Amino acid sequence: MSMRQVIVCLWLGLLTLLWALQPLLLSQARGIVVLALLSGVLAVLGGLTSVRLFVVWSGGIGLLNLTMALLLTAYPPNLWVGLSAGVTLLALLDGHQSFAYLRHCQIEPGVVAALGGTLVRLSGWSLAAGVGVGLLVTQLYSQRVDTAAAGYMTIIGAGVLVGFFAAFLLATSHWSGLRTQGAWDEKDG
Amino acid sequence: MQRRNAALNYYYFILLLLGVLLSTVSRRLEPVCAVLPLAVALLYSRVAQATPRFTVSCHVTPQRAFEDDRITVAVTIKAETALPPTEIWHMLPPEATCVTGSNRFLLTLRPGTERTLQHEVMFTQRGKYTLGRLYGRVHTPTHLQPWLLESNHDQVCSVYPRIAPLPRHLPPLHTHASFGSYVSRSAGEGLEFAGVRQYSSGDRLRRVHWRTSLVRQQLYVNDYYCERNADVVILLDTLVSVGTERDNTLDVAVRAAASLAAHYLYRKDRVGLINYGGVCTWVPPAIGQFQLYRLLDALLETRTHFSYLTKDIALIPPRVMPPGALVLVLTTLLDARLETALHDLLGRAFQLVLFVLSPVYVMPPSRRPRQAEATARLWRLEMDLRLHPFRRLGIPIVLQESADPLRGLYPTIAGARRGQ
Repeated sequence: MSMRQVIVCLWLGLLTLLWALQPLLLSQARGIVVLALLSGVLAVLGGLTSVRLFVVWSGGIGLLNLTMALLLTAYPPNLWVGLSAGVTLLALLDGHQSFAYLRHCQIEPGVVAALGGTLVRLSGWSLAAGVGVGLLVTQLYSQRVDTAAAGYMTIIGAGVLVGFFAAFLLATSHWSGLRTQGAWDEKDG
Repeated sequence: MQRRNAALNYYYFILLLLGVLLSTVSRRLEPVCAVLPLAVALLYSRVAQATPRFTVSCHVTPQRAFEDDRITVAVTIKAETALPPTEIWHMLPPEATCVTGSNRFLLTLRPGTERTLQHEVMFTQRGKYTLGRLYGRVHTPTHLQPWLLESNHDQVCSVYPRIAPLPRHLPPLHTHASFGSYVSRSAGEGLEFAGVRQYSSGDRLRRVHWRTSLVRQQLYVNDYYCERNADVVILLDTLVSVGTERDNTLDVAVRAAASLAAHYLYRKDRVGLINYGGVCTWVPPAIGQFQLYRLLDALLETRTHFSYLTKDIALIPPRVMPPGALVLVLTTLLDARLETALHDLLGRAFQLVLFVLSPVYVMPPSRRPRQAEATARLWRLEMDLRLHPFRRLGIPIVLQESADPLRGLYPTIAGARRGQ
């Protein structure tokens, strides 16, 4: 195993542990400790055996765990906690693919920089989006809207967001599929 | 090229859904913030879509090699536009081993640049293999919607059986007048100087030995020894093959046949080949480098075809088995049908040499060494019993005693000749 592979391996392991055990920093409740350990084991197992489902599953448990830890500790809303957890989760999932490449492929110069550049760019955009959302929510909170109405708005907003995303993903996948098919048809004459 | 959704899209979306759900239920902002980078990645992969333009080519050299030789595969990628991280995979046949470099690589290129990546492949088993099938995956700009590429630059590579040099030469008993490496005791046309004799009518002027002629005051000419060569026929028993797919008696026999053919062709003998099995094929004897490749090509195709029928050896035409030829038989002697053919050949006064290949050396290593030893002894006893009639007739028999079946060749034949 080359030096570069060892470094990436350590990086991935650290990220996994950081993501999985992050709620422990906020809470010492027994249920959260057990869940955090479980997600940590799952994530490490997924990373080692290249089973992406394990990593995603541990990501899901980590999300649940983080929410529970924040609720139990009544920790004030902190954008930084959420965003750092999100960037770690993204790096973990994206780095999983890069790690597979490092294990099986011969890496030519410039590739690691290109992969890292994309991750940094995405983190920057995420930070900007997170700050934007935080400002928007704070603004809405200061409007002193009726509690029931705020609850309905949250549910509707979440539904709209998820629906939009689903439609967007479906549409872009369909368009790219059509375009590819067209290019193939054109090529075949 | 074709664009596909990676499975990661669904995972990202599921986590996004979970984050939004948790955020809604708990009325906290952090779960949404945690899945926000995933949403950004999904959006970014859709928005920043650029079609990369590049060409891939593959070159394999040499296309004819021997077992365990290294074959170089050069993959050239030429980018017209900027190429994001791209994975190129040269799919190898299962028999191949990549010895230098890697057949899977990840690279990026700037517009108008070109890069050639090389790796070396080795085959440990004879056969015809197709190389040059390339698969690619271009990640623009995340791993979420890669472009998939399939590029076929099929190049058939012939891997011939390994040729091992024989330490000593074993001249055949019967030779015939033709150009070759054997020198006759009688004078005639040839290159080997025999002496000087008086000119007689019909002698060529270019053969006159002027110095002796001037001293003796009459014409003398150079005399040469006649050149001779022999016919060698390799008879390969393809009735039975014992062992695994990677290591079997047929492959051992084929390697031995290739070594024998190369050795006798180098000595300018005429060498032919007969595959004696369910399907009987042959290559008539001839000389030269072309014949070596003809034989190697025939050996490349040699397979065991199970059949209850065997062709009568008497039906093989005389041009394939010239009278007086040295017949080198490579067999496991596990099928009794070959014994009939051998008796037939002996009846027609062919000079036979029998190589009996042992299945012991191709069997997977046993956990019980004593049991393996006992099996080897049993095989040896059975062979002794079956080979007894041939030994009585004075046929040289080389029983395989090591991984190289030709190792015992010289002592056996030298002993047989002393006996004669």
